[in-house]
Amino acid sequence: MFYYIVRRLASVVVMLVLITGTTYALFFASPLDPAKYTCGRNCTPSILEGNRKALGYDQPVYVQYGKFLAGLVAGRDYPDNAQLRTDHPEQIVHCPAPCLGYSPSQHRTINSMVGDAWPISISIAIGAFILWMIVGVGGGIIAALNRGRWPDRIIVGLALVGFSVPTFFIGLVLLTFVAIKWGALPIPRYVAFTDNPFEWAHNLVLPWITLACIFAASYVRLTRAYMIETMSEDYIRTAMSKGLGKWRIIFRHGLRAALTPIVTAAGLDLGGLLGGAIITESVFSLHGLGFTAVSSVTNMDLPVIVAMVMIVSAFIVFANLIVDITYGFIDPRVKLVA
Amino acid sequence: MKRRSFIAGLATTAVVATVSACGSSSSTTGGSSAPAAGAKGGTLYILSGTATEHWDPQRVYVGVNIEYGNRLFTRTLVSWSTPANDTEVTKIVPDLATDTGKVSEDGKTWTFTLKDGVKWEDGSDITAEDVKYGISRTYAVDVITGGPNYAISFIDIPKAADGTSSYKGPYAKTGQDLYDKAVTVSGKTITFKLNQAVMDFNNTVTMTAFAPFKAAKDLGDKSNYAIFSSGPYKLDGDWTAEKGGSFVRNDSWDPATDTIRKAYPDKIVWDESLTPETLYERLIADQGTDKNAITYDNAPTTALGNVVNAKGRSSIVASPYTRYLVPNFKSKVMSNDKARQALALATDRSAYITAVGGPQVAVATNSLINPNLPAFPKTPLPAGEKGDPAKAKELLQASGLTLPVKISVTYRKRDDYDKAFSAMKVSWDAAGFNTELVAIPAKTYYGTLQAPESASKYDVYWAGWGADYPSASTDIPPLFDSRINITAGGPGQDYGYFDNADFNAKIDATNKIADMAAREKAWGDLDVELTSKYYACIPLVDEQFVFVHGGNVQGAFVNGTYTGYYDPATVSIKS
Amino acid sequence: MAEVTMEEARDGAVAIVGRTPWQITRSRLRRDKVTMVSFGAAIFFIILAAIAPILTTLNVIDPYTPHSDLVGGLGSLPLGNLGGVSGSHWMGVEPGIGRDIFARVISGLTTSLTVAVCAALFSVALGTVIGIISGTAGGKVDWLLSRITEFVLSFPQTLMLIALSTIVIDLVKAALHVDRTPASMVFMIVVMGFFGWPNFARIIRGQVLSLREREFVEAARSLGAGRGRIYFKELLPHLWAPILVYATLIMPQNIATEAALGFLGVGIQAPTPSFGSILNDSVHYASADPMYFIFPGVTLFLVVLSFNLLGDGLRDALDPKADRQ
Repeated sequence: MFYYIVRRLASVVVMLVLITGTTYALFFASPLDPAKYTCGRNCTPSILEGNRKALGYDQPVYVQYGKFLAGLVAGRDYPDNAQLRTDHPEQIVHCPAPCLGYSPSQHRTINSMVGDAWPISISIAIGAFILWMIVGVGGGIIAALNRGRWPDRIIVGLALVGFSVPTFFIGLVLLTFVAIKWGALPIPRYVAFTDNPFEWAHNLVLPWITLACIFAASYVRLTRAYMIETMSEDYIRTAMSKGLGKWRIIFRHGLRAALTPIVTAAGLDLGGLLGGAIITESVFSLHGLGFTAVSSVTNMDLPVIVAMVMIVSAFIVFANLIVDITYGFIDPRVKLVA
Repeated sequence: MKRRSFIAGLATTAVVATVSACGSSSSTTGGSSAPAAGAKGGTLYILSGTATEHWDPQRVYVGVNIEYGNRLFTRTLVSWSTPANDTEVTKIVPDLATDTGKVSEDGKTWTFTLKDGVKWEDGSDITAEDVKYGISRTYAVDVITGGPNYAISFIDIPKAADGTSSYKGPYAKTGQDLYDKAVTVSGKTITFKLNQAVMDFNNTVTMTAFAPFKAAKDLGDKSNYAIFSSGPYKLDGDWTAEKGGSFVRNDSWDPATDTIRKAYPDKIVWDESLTPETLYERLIADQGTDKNAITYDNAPTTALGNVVNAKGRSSIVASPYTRYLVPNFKSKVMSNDKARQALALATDRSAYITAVGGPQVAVATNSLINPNLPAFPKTPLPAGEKGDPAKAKELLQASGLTLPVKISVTYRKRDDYDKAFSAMKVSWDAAGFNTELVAIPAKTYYGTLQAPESASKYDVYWAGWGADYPSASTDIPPLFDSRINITAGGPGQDYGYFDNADFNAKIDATNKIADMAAREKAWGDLDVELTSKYYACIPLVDEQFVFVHGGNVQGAFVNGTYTGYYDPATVSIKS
Repeated sequence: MAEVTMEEARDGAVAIVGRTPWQITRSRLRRDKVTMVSFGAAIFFIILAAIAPILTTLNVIDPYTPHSDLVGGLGSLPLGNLGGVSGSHWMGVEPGIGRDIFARVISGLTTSLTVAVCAALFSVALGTVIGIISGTAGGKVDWLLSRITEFVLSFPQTLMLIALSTIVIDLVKAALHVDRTPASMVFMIVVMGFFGWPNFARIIRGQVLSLREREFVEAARSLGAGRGRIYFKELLPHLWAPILVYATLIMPQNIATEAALGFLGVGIQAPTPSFGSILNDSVHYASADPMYFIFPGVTLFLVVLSFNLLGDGLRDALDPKADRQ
């Protein structure tokens, strides 16, 4: 078990290096000149050159990547060019480890951007997660237990509808009608949990519902399918014939077996969302990581784009790792082969 | 040489714009209530979807930031008075100085004297030396980027061999003695020696590039958002790009020294993290703290339909902007005179107007110069608002080109512009063109136009411009004088590579005209030549601004003369 | 083969015959009305998408002509109720320009479905090939392909689509000398297709691993059949079920992804109609002209729903265990 974890961690590190390297190559080695995007109207060649030096774009991609990795571990200083740092010491900005880069359009380190955006993304993800697990798993169980009868049909129907409606459509309908036209809930803006927990939740209700919708639908279907499969297994029939109570069978035996793949899926989904729910954040103009990623594309802010991709990929990789390890603990049937 | 840079935001383009003293022709729908004295207190919210690039006074070149910076924390020697309604033409009044400046007979020497009792936020006095230091920072062009270059253009410092100034700014200190000779300080008095007669130099001095700056607080590029206040409010905490910041009262500011700013709100929260669509939804819905909010973002086209719900809290006013098309003289098609004329004749301005929101927000024009300027020549449209594709087709057939004539028209990407150009394409195609539309994202738009490789790719460009101050000398030469624009590195602001020796000679002649009225009329004549003789410019519309504010906000009036946005100096919050 | 009735079985007169998997599937589908309806709907949408360009050329529908007389007022909103609905404009007209929304939605269906189908085909083709190779080759090849699969799955699809759009579309434009719209379509097909293959490859690999041990593969090998023959002639026919189900289920995902990207302003942009580009504009008019986003939005929902239903129905029909209670 221990060796498994060690080997998995090693492969995670390798994976992250590959991911960051590929991302870097994709964006900074393309034929398009990244420095061009830092300079707007009336851009003189000298300003362009200055920007190129300050951001390190004049160096080969592998050198840039090497500096990026070094910055992740030990922090780095901007402007990137040593000569510029000596000539203009007043311009030096220190980016502490792990340094994700510097955004030329925002005049600040990406670390500080992420620091501002992260709480918002976490707030949205966790609230939606709780909502969809309760609704999705609960709905799936009810549907499975009433298979063929009308509660099952209704739940399955609703799940299918929820699965087919685009997230931004739901978000927009909720925003336009519930928040703007009827004023039943405020137009969402982020209030930190530490400032006012009630307002924090009050403003996030609509984003939570929007994001949870498609996941809830998907988990209803998932839970229902697994429950049905488990409940038709032989050992359940044995338990029933032995005279064990119905509910006890459902929860202790049926759900427990079905729970494993559900928890796996939940872990992976939550991991992916921690990197920012792009659509939900865009619909409600909440400045989480997803929103930052989209606006960095609109602004052609390459360092931020690259950093965002890396962060989200890292979350996915770590979520996979945690789920794999947890799987090994909770499911005795699984032999962990590295 | 006057070089202007024009920094475009994403939602609105803003530049210092002024309307001449000869009256303005804007209209309003319900301005704010009568200018009664407001109540002190409350928190004012400034909502925006346009990120502020600079708060450093010498780097600010966007109209909004000039006005708001000036009203909140960057006082200047002289500034503009506040309006009592949306249409009042405001005038230059003293701010840090005792009067609006004294000028010598020949117009080349200007003198200002500072008032007593004006202090920085840390309690130290604002001195004439601070004013001198502030202006000198403009010369450090490699560090202090983005601001207007009027100081470099006007102040009498000799140029180096390569055309740049011999003074390199207070960090390098090269040529410091030259600067010290041209700008002298004696006690509370500062004197400027100019290299030409500038009778309206005090007009130029209202720009925050001429504001004082405390040398001890100068961090170069890092001063970009490090606001150090001379006005009624000071920054509370930090300013974060794309998020904003908050301001509290500056106790060192003495209201007795300030006739402009009323400073009614106790606190100001500036939130620029929104999108224009969201912020207008909120302003119109008027819930919660949005009741105390104003904005300087123009209402996006999509919000216009809802503005009717904001009765009594909206304003429609003239904006300084004209939108126009520029044919690319380097393209094979557009170098043909008849083809250009055909394009102009077939241009359907009514389609553009419908797409951007209707005749209340856009007025068809055939002049580059804004109607509020004295130089406005009132050129009639060549074929009415809809254009005349049939007549254009005849011209095109006579031009010698094979129909359909393929042209590539490029514009700055925006949903309503997509529609405007799709609709205009219909008329152009009916005239015998085969129009390809290319939408370029806002961020890279003007950069693409100014890149030399674009000259071989596109035939027609969309562009927008507004005068820096009420003289058409800030319209015609910056955009169509080839000598100050076209270089090996690109067309500069003469995107169409219009290069005509006769025209340039007439520019020079106009600059020499002494009488202001005659000079402005001459600019008007040049405008007519551009649009109706050379067809080097096809003006489309003059845009109007639409603003909405919250229900608790009082005293919010648009200062059309001074950049054209709500003037925060008189805003108060109803309790 | 005829099914055995109770009477016949009781009489013992007719021999009991089994049914082939295909017959089981067909009978299940015939009983499942919902799936048949969704199948009809999906076919209807596909046909509509296919004939839309023809209809446009024949001037039956017109997604391009502006009608400025049908919009007006501050903001140029459609005059008339429900966003300008009338006999000649079944879904109303676009604010600001007055184009027929119904025509644009139908044309948008063409664009969106073209992209979705091509991307699905790309994912399926690539996934099948890699899955088969991985499953049959085993050993180091399988290990390497599995790691690559994991690697691709570590990238967030939506974010990559957004991030790469700027760079790749410009590159495609330059390389293929095309306009922005075809370049965007190629970009979406390639990138969406590329992020769709890993999941599918895993499914195929799993199926191949279980099929590998079956007799017919042994038989083919013992007869001296080469690898290629085994892969494609023997294995592929048994894989059609997961291929069909996956392809049908990934279609609505692709359609929804294209729409979401369009909503964000990435990918296919105006004036080319596609669900994404239409909704990107209509989203901003949500409070002033709600029908402008409800009509295309509901159409999108119906298209996605019908493909989801169809995919579900096919999966249930093709699952050998589904009849068990």
